[in-house]
Amino acid sequence: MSSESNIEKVDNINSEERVSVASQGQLIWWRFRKHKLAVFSAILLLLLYLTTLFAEFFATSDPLESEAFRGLIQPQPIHFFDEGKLSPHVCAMEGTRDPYTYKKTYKPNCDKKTPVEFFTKGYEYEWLGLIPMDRHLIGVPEGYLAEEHIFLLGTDIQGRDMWSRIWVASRLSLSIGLVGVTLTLIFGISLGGISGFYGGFIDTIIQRIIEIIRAVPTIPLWMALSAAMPFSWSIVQIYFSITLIISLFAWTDLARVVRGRFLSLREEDFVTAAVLSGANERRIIFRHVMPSLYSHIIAAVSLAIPLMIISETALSFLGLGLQAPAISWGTLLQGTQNVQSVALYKWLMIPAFPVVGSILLFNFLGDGLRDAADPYSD
Amino acid sequence: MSILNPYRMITVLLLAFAAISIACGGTEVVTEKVVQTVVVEKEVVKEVEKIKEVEVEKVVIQEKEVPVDKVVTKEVVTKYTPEEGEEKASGQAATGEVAYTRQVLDKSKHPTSYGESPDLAAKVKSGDLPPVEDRLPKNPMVLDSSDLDGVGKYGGTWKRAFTGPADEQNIERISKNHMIFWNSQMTELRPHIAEDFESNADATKFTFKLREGMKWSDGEPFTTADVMFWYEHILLDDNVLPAKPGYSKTANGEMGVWKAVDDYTYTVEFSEPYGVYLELVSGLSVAGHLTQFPVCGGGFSPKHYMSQFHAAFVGEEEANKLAKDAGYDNWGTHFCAKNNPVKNVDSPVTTAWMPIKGFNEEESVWERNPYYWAVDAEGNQLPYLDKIVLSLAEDVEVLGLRVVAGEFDIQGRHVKPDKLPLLRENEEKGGYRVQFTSAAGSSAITVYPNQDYGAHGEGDKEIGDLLREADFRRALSIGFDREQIREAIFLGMGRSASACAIPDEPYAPGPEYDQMWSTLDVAKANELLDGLGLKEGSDGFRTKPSGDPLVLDVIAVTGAFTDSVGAAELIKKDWADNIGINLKITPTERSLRETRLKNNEAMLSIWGGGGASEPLFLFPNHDLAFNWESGMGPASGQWFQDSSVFGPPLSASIAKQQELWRQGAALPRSERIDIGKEIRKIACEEVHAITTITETPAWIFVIKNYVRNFPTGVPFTTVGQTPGSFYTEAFWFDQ
Repeated sequence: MSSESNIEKVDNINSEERVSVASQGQLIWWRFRKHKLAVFSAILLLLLYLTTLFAEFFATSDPLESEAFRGLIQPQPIHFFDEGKLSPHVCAMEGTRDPYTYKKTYKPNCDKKTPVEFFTKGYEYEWLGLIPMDRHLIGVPEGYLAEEHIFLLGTDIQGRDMWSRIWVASRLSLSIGLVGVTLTLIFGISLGGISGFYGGFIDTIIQRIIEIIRAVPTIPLWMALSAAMPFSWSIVQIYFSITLIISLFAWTDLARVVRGRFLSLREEDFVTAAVLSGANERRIIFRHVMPSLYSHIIAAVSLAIPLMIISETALSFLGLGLQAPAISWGTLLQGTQNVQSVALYKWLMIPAFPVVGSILLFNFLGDGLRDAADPYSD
Repeated sequence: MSILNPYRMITVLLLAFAAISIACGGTEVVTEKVVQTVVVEKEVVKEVEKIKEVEVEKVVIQEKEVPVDKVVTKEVVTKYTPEEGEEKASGQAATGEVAYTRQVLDKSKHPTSYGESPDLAAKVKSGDLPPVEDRLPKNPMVLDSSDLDGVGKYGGTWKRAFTGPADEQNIERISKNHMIFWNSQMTELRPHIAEDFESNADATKFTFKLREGMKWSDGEPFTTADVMFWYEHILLDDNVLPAKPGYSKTANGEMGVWKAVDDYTYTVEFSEPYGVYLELVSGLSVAGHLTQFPVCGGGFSPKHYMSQFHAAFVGEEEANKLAKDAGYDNWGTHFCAKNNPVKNVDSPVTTAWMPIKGFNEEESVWERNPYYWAVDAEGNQLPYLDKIVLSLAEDVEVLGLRVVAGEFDIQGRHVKPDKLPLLRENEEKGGYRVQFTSAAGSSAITVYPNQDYGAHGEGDKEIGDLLREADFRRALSIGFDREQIREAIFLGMGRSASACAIPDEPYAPGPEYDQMWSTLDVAKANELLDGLGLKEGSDGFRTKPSGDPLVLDVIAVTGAFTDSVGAAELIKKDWADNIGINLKITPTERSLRETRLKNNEAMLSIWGGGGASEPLFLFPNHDLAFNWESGMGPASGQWFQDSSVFGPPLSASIAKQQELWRQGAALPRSERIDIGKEIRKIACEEVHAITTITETPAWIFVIKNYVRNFPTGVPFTTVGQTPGSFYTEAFWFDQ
């Protein structure tokens, strides 16, 4: 978007003149700023992606560390004050199993307190698989084990910490489809653009290819691919490569629309003018035609990213996408597809909130961007 | 029923004596409390001895040569008696004493006059039905429920759920029509459709006597013609059954020959001894006309109805035309579809309820069969319940929710044990109680190392060779903490044990095998792995002897009865932490597991069983390499069934087990016990299956409080088709 100095410069001119001399980028930015909800969503999403980049730092326990005897603990609050003094601590959770119903219930015992520290050392991890680290936002002093004491959002049936798992899951769920979405965009815009701009024989070929691809049903393809992937690959690798392959099939929608716009736009006067001024094809496509398509492309992206998050969650929930040892929103929710989670262990459904939340944020952001990207409409 | 009330106790004891003297194998009903009373014990023994001398020869022919005294002691031994107090009690807490509906075998005690339900009586009055005496056979099966709630009231609709057309087992399990069947405790064979049965001394010829005057549900007589129709036109007809089912052949593949002696007697003859035959036909394999489990029903078929679809009766052209009109490729498949009453409601049946609406509809309705051939101790024709209505609940969780809401009268099938806390908490609100059935010895989470892996070029031979090393399997078995699985997956119930912990099975090798290679011992496990030359690689995991990374892969079925993926995650973590074994979990859909096993592609796989409560010679799928389903040797198992596929096992211990099983199957029960023990011993010493937790109430029943005559303390078995083994026709509702 535009730089501050640009805006200052035009601030001196009266508003009508300002609009007529502003660049398209400035117009988009002004329009976007007006959409308060979109700006707010954009900031939150940025934060979300930034924090999930440091998922392990925010996690308290090793998300894979299981201990059945700590299974199904309910969320445990952090007490910040102890007898009037600031001394963050958590109470010990003591569980007993009912001999008749076999239900395990935990009660906080505040006679046994564990102090809570911030920016402390905890379990060791490799940040982004590269840098070994052991710092965590929340932790326990030396001599304690976070896995045994802190359960901010409770534990699952195998005694793994939900708080930590949700952080790690968020990173995977928010990012695993991004490459696929990018590929879809590249294919859609370039093939659609070529098809529309040149027309004729090339157009016919590309359109027939699109028709063939559109006839391939996705879910059976998904099932076949998940069975066909190399046996030695991990579940995350398999899923990632499936999203890539699926993106080879998903670009057709976007390509059709882009082609349509190109077909109509290439007859416009400003394109003719550009051609007559001796502009080359690349300049015409990217400088003159493309900007008219921004709003549509942005709309497509703002729909595609939440769609990819939802499909990860949905496919994993159905047992087709990511599966149990992998940690994602979908796999966390998959563990709750039973009556007892709804009735007795409600905290297991907490992963639904980040799913709903992030999808909403993306939709608000998309809304704002779409309006802003077409600044000449009104 | 409460046995604690002293007044009631006396009544119960008196009733029990009456029942014992009626049924010859009476000791099986003695409850713990009864045994404690000295006087009672004496009485029981006396009664049994007296009757035994007369009855044993006739009914349980294999035991003829065994002295009577010995029979009594043996029965006590095979009886399920909880020994370990608390541990056992956790799984059996609710079952309490042992009580169930029994058959009255002494014909002099049979009722002479018969009663019937009011709705049938009305039909008789209006002339729509013949009187009850004419509908029943001359000697109906007599069921005595005096140990439970006794003679019941007619009426009521049994509401239940099923999960779709594929869930045929749902009705097959509760509506039985075996030729001969087990008692509820699975210890004794009992007559069922056949009034009597016997084997010759060397177990080559078996004679069955049908009930004279017995009828199909449409009123047509049931005779040996129906048995011979099945033999000649289903079993022998290659158009109907191209592959002959296992129960028609001996262990060496010799086909049996069926012969009708007269209208009510037929024989089955084999060219070599087939000692396990009688037990086999009482089980899952030839479970009768209604049960389609293998293919196209078993044992008999309604000739008067089915012959209209058979080429031998109407000509091939006509039969094929009928099939084409109905949308089938050929008359063979059409015939089999028509022979399945669960989906073809026009077919007559011999079960207690007959189909009105089949399993291909939203709701399946079954109504009382007016010609059902069983009565209660007072001569009232069974069943008591008017109807069974099964409603479709495609999703198991939805089904579970409806169970919690108390919508079903008796539902065990599809109720997962992880719902137990929820079910128990809502007992009062839902008006039901939760009852456990003992599934002793069955480890619902068992890891099977495939000893055929890589033997036929389907996988890494080096890993296959490791899996064939007993020490490798032993190290895996003692390398993880079973208590974690007990706590997380089984709600803290049951106990960890080897595949030999089967106290109620005659082939259990003994207490010294109970914990063999099944308790955590990290030092020993590492020692064993070091001994195999598996060194630690750069990533902290052990490598193959060649130095390449060693990654084991386990197939864990998703959406099965127990959470095998969850259990696999716990094992994975322990193996990584304790013994440096890298396990990769492959969550697999159920039918994909079947494909993987059939192709011998499974390295490790998780399934139930491995020392199951199913007797070793009747359902050995999980005890030795018997067929594709045997995770320890799916290739050699298929070879065992058909020597043209794959090849003999590379593992000597698997080969030995297969050989022993063949020997044992030919022998009568009393003679094959040592062979059975030997098979079990090999399994536990060589760790063919890595069992986890046994004696969990893997099967629970949710029963409305008004349900009567529901047995307690009896086992859940596949062979006995539980709850069919509970004699569901004697259930009634006290409403």
